[in-house]
Order: sequence, then C-alpha cells, then structure tokens
Amino acid sequence: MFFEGRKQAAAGTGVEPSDDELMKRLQQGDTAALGLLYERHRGIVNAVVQRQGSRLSAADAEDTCHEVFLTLLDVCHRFRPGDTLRGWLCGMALKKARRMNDRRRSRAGLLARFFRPAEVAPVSPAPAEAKHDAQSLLEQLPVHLREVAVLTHVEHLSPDEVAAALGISLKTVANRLSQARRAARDVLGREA
Amino acid sequence: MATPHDPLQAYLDQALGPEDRSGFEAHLLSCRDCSSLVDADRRLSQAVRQGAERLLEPPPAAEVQRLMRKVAQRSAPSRRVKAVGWALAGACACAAAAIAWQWSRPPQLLPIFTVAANGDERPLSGDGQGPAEGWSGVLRVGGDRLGVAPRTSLQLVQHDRAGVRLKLARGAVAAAVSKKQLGQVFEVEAGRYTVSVVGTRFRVRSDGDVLNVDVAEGRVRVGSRSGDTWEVNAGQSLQVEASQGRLGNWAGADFPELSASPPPPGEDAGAAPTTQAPEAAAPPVALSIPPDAIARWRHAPAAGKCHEVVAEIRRALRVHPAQREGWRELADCLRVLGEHAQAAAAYRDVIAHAAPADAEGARLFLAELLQDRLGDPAGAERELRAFLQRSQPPLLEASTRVKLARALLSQGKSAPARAELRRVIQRFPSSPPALEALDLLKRAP
Repeated sequence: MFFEGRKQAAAGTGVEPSDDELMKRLQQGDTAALGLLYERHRGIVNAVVQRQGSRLSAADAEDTCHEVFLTLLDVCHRFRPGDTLRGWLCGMALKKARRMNDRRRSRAGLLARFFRPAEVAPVSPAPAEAKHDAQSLLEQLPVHLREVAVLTHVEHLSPDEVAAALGISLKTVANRLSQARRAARDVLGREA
Repeated sequence: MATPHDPLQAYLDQALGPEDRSGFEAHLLSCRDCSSLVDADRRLSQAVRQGAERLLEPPPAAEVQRLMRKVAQRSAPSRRVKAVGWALAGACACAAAAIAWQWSRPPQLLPIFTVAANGDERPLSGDGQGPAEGWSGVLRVGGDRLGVAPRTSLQLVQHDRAGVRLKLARGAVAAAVSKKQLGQVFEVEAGRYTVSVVGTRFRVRSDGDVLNVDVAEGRVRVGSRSGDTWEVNAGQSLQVEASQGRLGNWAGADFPELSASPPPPGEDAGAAPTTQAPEAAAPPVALSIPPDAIARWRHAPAAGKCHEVVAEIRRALRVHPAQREGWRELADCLRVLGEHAQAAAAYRDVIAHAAPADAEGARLFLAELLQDRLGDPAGAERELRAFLQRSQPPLLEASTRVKLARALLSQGKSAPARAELRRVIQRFPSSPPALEALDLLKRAP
C-alpha cells in the first residue's frame, strides 16, 4: 500500500534515505533534502491541514503546507536522530491550521461589520447539508479533541507520535480520544 | 494505548486476543453504551479519512518546485537581513557608546547672573544653587530670564546643558525661556505639581495647596503626581486646587517680576494681580474627549442606545471638533436612527479627515446610504470606486463590485454594470457575491 511504502521509506528500510539521514543533510544546509521530505510527508501534512483548517481552498492548503516545511527549515537544527519527524510535522501543521482559522475568523468579523450577515460567507455549513457532511462532524468537536482524533485516524499515527505532535502526555492522548468519541456520539445522536 | 482498565480502547486498537475479542463483541450486543461508542469511533474515523486518499497523494512536481522557489527566495533576503542587522547592531553600539560617554562627563553648570535695573549683569555669588532664601530680582541662567518675586523660596536644582529645573517652595517666579533644543527641559516643581515649558513666557505662583500658572507666550504643560495633566496656552491661566484644574483667561501684557525695576510697593507674590476676571466662573473644560466616552458611544448602536448618546456626542464635538473618532460614532448613531442625510454628512467628514482605515469603512456606509436611502447612485458609484482603488480582501472586493454594479444599473449604465458583474463571477466564482452577481446579470437589461 502507498502509506506502508512511505512508512518504510521514512524508516530507511528501502533504497531511499531515511528521515534521519535527510534531516541530517538539511541541518548541513542541503535544501534539496527538503524537497524529498516534502514529497514524502506532504500527504499527511496536507491531510491534517485540510481536516483541521475547515474548508480551505486548494491554494490556501498548499500555502499552509509550504509554511510548515519552511518552518521545518528554520528549526531543523533542533531535530535529534530518533525523533518522530511525522509527529513534528503534524504538530506544526496543526498550529498553522489553527492560525489560518483565526485569520479567517477575524476576516469574517471585519466583513460582518461592513456587510449584512447574508452577504458574508458562512463559516460553517448550513444545518441541512451538515447532516450528510463528514467534515461537519469534525467541525462540531472542540478543537483539542478534534486534533487528537485527526492525528489518530488520518494515517494511524501511534499514540507516541500524537503525544509528540501535541506536546501532551500519553495519558492525555488517551483521555482526549475517549472524550472525542463521546462527543462524536452526542453529535450523531443530535443529528439522528 | 490499550490498558487493562479500558477494554473498549483495546478492542478498537485490535489489541485483544481472539477470546477476549469474542467476549467483548458478545458484550457489545447487550451494552448500548459501548456499542454506541464503537459506532461513534467508526464514524469519526470515516469522517477523518473521507477523501483522505486524495489528500494523501504525493504532491505534483510543480508544487514541489514552488516550495523550492520559496526556499531560494527566503535564503537570498536572509543574507541581506543579516547584513542590515549587523549594520543596525553596529549603529546601536556606537550610539550607546556616545550616550555613555556623554553621561560619564560631569555636568557643566551654567553660570547664574543677577540683572540690575539698568541691564548690568553680575555673577551670582554663593554655592551655585541659586539665590539665597528671600532674595528677589531678576536672574539670567543661560538664555533664560527668571523674575523672582519678594518673599519667594526658590532653589535651582539643575542648571546645565540638559536644561534648568527649579524647585518653588513658596512665592512666585516668572520666566522668559529661550528656545530649547530637543531633549532640553525647563521645569518648575511646585509642591505636588510640575510645570514644564513647551513654549516660552509664563509665571508660576504657589501658595501651598493652590497653584496658579499664567502663560503670556507659547504653551506649558502642568502635571500632577497623581497623573493629571493640563496644557495652558498663551493668554490662558490655570488654577489647580486639590487636583482640580480650572482654565481661565489671562489678559496681562507681561509679568512685572521679569522687569528688573523693583516691584510696586505692597504687591505680594501670592496676590499678584492677574487681570483675568472670569477665572472662577469658567466651567471646567476637558482637554479631549475621554476614551471611555468614545468606547460607550461605539457600543451604542449594538445596545440600541443611539438616541441617548447623539446629543452627548454633538455637545462634545462642539468643544472638540478636531477629534475625528467622535464624528465616526456620531455618523454610525445617526445612520441607525434613520437620520440619513445627517449621517451622510458626518461620514463625509470622517472620509475627509480620519485615518485611512476609518475612512474606508465610512465610504462603504456612505455609499450604502446614498444608494439605498438618499437616491444618489452617482454619489454611491463615486464612493465605491474610490474604495476599490485600494487593495481589498477578495470577498470584500467582490461584494463591493456587486454594489457598484447595482449603482451603475440604477443610473441606466447597463454595459459597465454587466462588465463588473462578469468580473466578479470570473474572479471569485465560489463566493456568495458571485451568486448574487449571477442573479443580477440574469435580470440586467
């Protein structure tokens, strides 16, 4: 499977260099390594960004992915062999998506000041279509629960990787996942 | 993540053995709570992974190239930024060294001269800290002249290149202050108050708790230890008592203390005549509209209290017409109250004088009033075109162009209106204004 192939490449089991090797090259100033890392990990970063930053345009999503990898370029010297790069990248992607959501909200506030509410783009979908929209289920979860659910399910990140991405303990990951499940059940119960 | 205390999590992680798994599945048939949680987890996973294969696809080569171009662009200016940073750091270090050298030098005191009635000047003898207690007459310190009234207790705390500071314990001192360089000060400390010279010619009288400041030329600022400040302009006089300042008129020609001839018999420093009469009757005047009042006005439209604050805003603007925030709040309130013509006039005033951000908002409101309320689509078109001259966020621009098209249609200018609508549909195809534009385009002649 495609995901499995990428996981093996990240671990360095195939002919492709491992993440650790590429990060070492990046730390030495070889920016070509960033391109290889982008090809390898852009998928999961894109998925996290799209799931967390609700309803981004393709251009916004690409810009956010680029920002994540440009940030990686700035902080690559902090990486130590053995760290989970996917966790790092997912953590950065979550932060960027959060910031993107904040920017969109503040812009919506500005627009609401100048225009009648009907003219402002709806931030969340209308209730009728929300019922059939899987993204709306995620949007109705609190942000801290949504983050854990996205990271856990999007490419089956391990609890260690989720904890590293969010900077929280394993126990908190388990608690939040359980809360996310209960919150999702409540949302689905309301919609039924 | 599975723990012995959380078999549900272990089941979802597929970490249970075959027997435990069968047992838990049997439990699920009878436990609605657990089965609903398993279902919720499945739906959550579906929601996250819906279309994930598309999101997880490897990036196209063009996207990677765009990233690498950004990397190249970032590294080039970063060298420039570093160079500028080093240059700035060097400049700061030089400035810090110059300041330290300047501060390390002992201050060179300006000599103090006494001025006789015929203009003769003599160095003041003593310890260099000013005249002795009870001395009266005229002094010259650098380019500044000080007239000290009889029975005045005055101390020169500082008289060097950085400026002149006086401490007035009792009595009166008048000053003719020369033009100051940047950073130079001339201050008179009288009890709890400090009078700083912004302009030139003034007099300070202190009687313990009461402070009187008369200004003949220029402007002075009076500050108290409690943080209150007053600015006194030429021809004005300020009396401060118990932190309450009262501004009045001062119509005197000059201060008798500054003439070297002896003061007329019987004139007392504490009772020096200030020819203004209405000082006591003058009502207290605030120097600007208080920020809390502006904040209250700003929330009035949302709170439905416009009719209560409009009169108050108008009163404040009569005293402080230059304070543009007040005009904006007045315009908003008038618009909400339905006083469309007056609101339009207030918005025009904001556009003419306010900061660009406020002016742009005012243009949109004005255009809406002109188009929908005052029947002036040409005026609305003018304001909207002016608004669009500056770069705007996409949705704002799209919505404004639709409004512009409406204004053009109202004037019978069908062709340019259709062009604007087509532009909105082409440039912002998925935005709500595009749908409105499509609808308008269908109905446009």
